[in-house]
Amino acid sequence: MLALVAAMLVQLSDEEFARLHQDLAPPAGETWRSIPWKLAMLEARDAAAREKKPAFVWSMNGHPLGCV
Amino acid sequence: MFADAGVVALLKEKFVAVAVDEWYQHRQKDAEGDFYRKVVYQGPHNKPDQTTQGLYVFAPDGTLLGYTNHRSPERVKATLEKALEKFAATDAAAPEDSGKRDAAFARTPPEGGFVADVTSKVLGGYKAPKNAWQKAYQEALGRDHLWVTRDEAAALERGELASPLARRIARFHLVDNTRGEPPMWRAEDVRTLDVALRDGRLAGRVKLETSSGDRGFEGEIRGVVVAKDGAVTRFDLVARGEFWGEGRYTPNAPAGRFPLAVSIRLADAKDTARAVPPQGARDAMDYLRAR
Repeated sequence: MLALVAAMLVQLSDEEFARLHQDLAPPAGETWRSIPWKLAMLEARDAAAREKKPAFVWSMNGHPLGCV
Repeated sequence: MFADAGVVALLKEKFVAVAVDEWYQHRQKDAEGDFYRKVVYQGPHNKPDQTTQGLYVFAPDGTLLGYTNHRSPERVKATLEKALEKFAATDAAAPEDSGKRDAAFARTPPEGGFVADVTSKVLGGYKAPKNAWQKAYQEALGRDHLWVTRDEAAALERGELASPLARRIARFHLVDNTRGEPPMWRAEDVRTLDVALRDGRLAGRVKLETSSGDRGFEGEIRGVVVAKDGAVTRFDLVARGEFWGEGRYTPNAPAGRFPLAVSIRLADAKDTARAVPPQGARDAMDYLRAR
């Protein structure tokens, strides 16, 4: 832990910047992203009626696709 | 649960899927909010002051066909399959008129500006996880979106960093949202924000701390900004530093100061999730003014 905190005191180098930017990029091909999500209930309701399907709602406090 | 191929296949083939932030839909006084409440109030959470978080299945006429708040793929799959059986026995009613949207809850990205993806990660400091869920939280990427206004984008194209943009990034995006909804920083929590953009390179330091000192972030920001043909074509930022404390909905942070990094990049214009407003935009005026 001390080593980690000590590392924070070192200036962010170009290499560290590039590595962190890459490491924090959302992974490619996340399965949940392949689902064609709607963002509004009425949009889902209308599509469900057209396609004769039920609708599935993922409801959270904090948007699920914002993923907080 | 959405890492499970069976759940994902079912949703893609047999359902129309929708994702919502219940903070909006639960409060909206319009057809969208009315329909949301009509559906979810048939479930176990049916009061305005209760959270309605969960997974629901409904028919187009609003009839609830299934509900669970369990995240295990088996439970979700069972809920979906049972709902499908019920749906086969119902008629899909024609949609009603959608009417006007409640403007108080409408959030759209700033016209002429741009949207960036924001991710965050705790880089260390946790105790060994006790189970798979804890491990997942400890390794999670926090995600959000940053809105940049037309004027701020124009300033970036000129090689300048507008003060509201710098403050918005600090107050609403240098947060630990890896375990849930984080508390944002108040204007007075910004103790140091010394960030400058020169020759396309952004660099500076930031210190954020609540008045009680129970939560804070102190670190460095670096970035690369490129503009071409009147548009920002690269907006790569990284903030790295020490975070301390936690919020009501982000419990179980590492003890003491721990390393946290936040990364920002232009959002993919084709990504549906790009339209999801920033968490901090619930108070849209405060978010955009970012005093």
